[in-house]
Amino acid sequence: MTKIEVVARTVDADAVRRQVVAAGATGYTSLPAVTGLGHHGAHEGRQLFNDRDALTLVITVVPDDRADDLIEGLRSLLEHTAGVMFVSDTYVSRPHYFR
Amino acid sequence: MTTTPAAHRSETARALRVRARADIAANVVAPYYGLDAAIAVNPVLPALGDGYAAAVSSAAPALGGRGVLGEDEFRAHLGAGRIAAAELAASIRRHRPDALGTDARLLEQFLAEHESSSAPAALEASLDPIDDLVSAWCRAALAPEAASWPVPVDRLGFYGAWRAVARRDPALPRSARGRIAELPEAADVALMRALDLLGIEDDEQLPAMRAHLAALPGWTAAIRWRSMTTGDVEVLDLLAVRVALVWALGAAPLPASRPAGPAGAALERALIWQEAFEARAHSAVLAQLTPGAQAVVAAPAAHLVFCIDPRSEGLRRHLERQGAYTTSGFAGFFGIAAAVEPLAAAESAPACPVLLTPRYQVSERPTPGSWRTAARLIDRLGTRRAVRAAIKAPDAVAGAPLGWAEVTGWMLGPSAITRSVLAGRGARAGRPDEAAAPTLFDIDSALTLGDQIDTAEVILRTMGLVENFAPLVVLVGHGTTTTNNAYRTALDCGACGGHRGAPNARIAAALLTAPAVRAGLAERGIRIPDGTIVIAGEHDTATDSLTLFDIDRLRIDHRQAVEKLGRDAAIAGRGLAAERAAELPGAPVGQGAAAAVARRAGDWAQVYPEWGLARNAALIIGPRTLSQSADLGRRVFLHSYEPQHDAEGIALETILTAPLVVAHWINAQYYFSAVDPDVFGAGSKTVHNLVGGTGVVSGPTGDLRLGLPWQSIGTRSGLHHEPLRLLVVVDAPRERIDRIIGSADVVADLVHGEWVILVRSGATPGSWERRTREGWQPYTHEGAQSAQREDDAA
Repeated sequence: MTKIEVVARTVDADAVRRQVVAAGATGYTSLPAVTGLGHHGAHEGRQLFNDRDALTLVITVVPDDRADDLIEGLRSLLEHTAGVMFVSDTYVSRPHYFR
Repeated sequence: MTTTPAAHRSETARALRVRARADIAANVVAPYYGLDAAIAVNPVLPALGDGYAAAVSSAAPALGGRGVLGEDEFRAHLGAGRIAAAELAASIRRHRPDALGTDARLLEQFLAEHESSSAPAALEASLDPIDDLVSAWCRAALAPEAASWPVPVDRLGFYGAWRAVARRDPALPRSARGRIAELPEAADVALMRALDLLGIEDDEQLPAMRAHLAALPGWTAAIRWRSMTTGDVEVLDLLAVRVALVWALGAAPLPASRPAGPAGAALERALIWQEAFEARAHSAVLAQLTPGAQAVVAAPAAHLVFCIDPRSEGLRRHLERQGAYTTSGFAGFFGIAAAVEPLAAAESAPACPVLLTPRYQVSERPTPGSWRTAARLIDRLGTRRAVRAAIKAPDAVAGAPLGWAEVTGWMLGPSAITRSVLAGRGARAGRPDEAAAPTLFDIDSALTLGDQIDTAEVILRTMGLVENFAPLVVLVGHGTTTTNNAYRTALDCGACGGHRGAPNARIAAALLTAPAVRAGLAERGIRIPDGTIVIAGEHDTATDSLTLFDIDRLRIDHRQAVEKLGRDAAIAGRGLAAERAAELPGAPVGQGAAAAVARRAGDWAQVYPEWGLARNAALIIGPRTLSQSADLGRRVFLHSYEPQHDAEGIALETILTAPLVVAHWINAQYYFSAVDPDVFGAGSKTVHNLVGGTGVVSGPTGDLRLGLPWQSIGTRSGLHHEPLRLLVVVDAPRERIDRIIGSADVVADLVHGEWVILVRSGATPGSWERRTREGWQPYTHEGAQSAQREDDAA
């Protein structure tokens, strides 16, 4: 199994999730308001008035044979938007959920 | 990791790449939020990071519009004295530091450089056949209740339903129908195939998609919003339909190219004119401010917290003249990030800024002991809703409205005649969501006590309201009363998601009144005295009235104080009505103004119930003492900020990353609607056709209209709104502002991109300094000041 994690601006998170679904992934986990420090400075996730300017982490796990297609699509997206993608091998307790 | 060569990509990977490009191409225009909650937005918001100049030269022209007034219009302003020679000369000197000579000489040279307008003309209104077909499908698919026949969008999706209908549509040539039938069923694969068939190479796809989406910016913007909310359609679907049609009909692969925007010297001229145009309005604001002033009212009888909306500035100013009242400004949702379910409503609606996702739901319920009254009200609302549904039902059936009018005309005729002849007289302009029964908002079911205390603390600390509480604190939301107005929500509170602000004010007041919350706040260092009562109010911006809520449960002495406030607010409202009537087309001035504005609110033929936020020009972030003696003419957003209570800058960061952003959106929406009403404005209300709750089209078909109707920005004699960028005055130390600009991209984009002019007071009294990309620089409007002196002397 391959785990793909994308940290993107919340306004772009919908596009990331659409890629994941269109690639045939059976699900994803989306964590809003993640904080951190990166190329574009610190993102502190203060949300009293504005949660669209924060970052979102989208995590999905796909079978290895689907990973390349999804990575290709996400890479196209990230060529023009701020964000980072992490790809790693992983193991899951119920593999049939992820087919 | 390297990119896979195109020849070896799987079809899925290629379709995903096409999908990604569609999402990127969608950034040619901002989402359009529809009429149900008409939130202001900068139409070229995705280009924010490129800056104002780039928006003028490329982002706005990409959509077929212009981003700045034309040279002829600026020259007319110069001729009419709206731009003074000194202001224009000062602007030339700022842009051309090497320019020498007298003002007259500079102007002579500048005006001789160019004799007439270089701004691109607006596009012709007529649609090309592809645009026409795509518009018609968008209308049928996105507002199926208004379509002449059922469209299977629910079952097949936007593209799938189009393919199913189009392959049998006799309006299309037989060859086109055959080609459409050959296309794949999935939108992404179909788009990929159509692009291939049109011969659009991999590296040409993104600009091609952008051009196709820019051909109909209104529908593209509406679909962007829909994809963010209901998610039943996305920009990819729109592109699939459009590009497939282009291929099927053998049309040109790309839409006709747009006229280019000003660049080089022409862009420099436009910026010089624009700055000269802004000088006087901005200077007039700064000239009235008093940094470091002491409060006029030391011990107020009441403290009213208004929304930062510029219309509140008028009521605040008039009310403060009535006695020992002090006011402050805060985003009118009062920190309540809730979905609100009004009494008897079928569903809840987000009542918070569009930048936020509601975190909890609060329902309005009858107060204990008033169930019987509430039941009667619910019955009445249900009956009203049923009658309205019955009247509207035939609209969905072709040919039925005529017959329905024949049958029911005798019933509705007297009502129509009364509404026309009396034009708002006698009938109180009511809203169906107004509750007449004693109600409360059930905060205990929505939030745990801990969450209530947290929320209350955040509200008070962000407001800077942590000590010296007045005996009466009133949180004042706002809304507007208007009849038969598709753009009603554009006049309501933008902070409350395009709804009236009373529910938010009532929920916040309930939180700050609850004894357990006050006890929790006291443990955190915020002690609200037992003698302080917190209530909610609502400012009706069309009638200038102030309604105060939930006062029947107050002690008699408290109630007397509230009633005194109510009387003074009524006097203030009459003063404000007289001031506003002077600007409203056709309104009488003087004694009858208050009655006249109320009558206009109930008049179903009135297209100018009020001016909304037209003429907005500045945002002031600072204590009330900064502007307490000023008459800012309802042109300024006033957000309270006490720098000494915010040493870490958290409150200022909140203000600069949200209320500033929203104020800019509003400013930009008015700006673009005014500089190019044909493309960025919604046209005249008198020819609007509603497309469900989605928006309006002008006439029978065409693109969905973005922005504001002409009646929000101008009259027969020309623009009422002045398209100016926002002057932002911040009372805070330099380093604090710099730190926030350094850490928040959105603030840096606004300031560095010169979408706003951010200033703070300088080292010497009366001096100002401006933050630019290069740092802090002295900020003077010498031209505006000398022009003002000339005016005063005359």
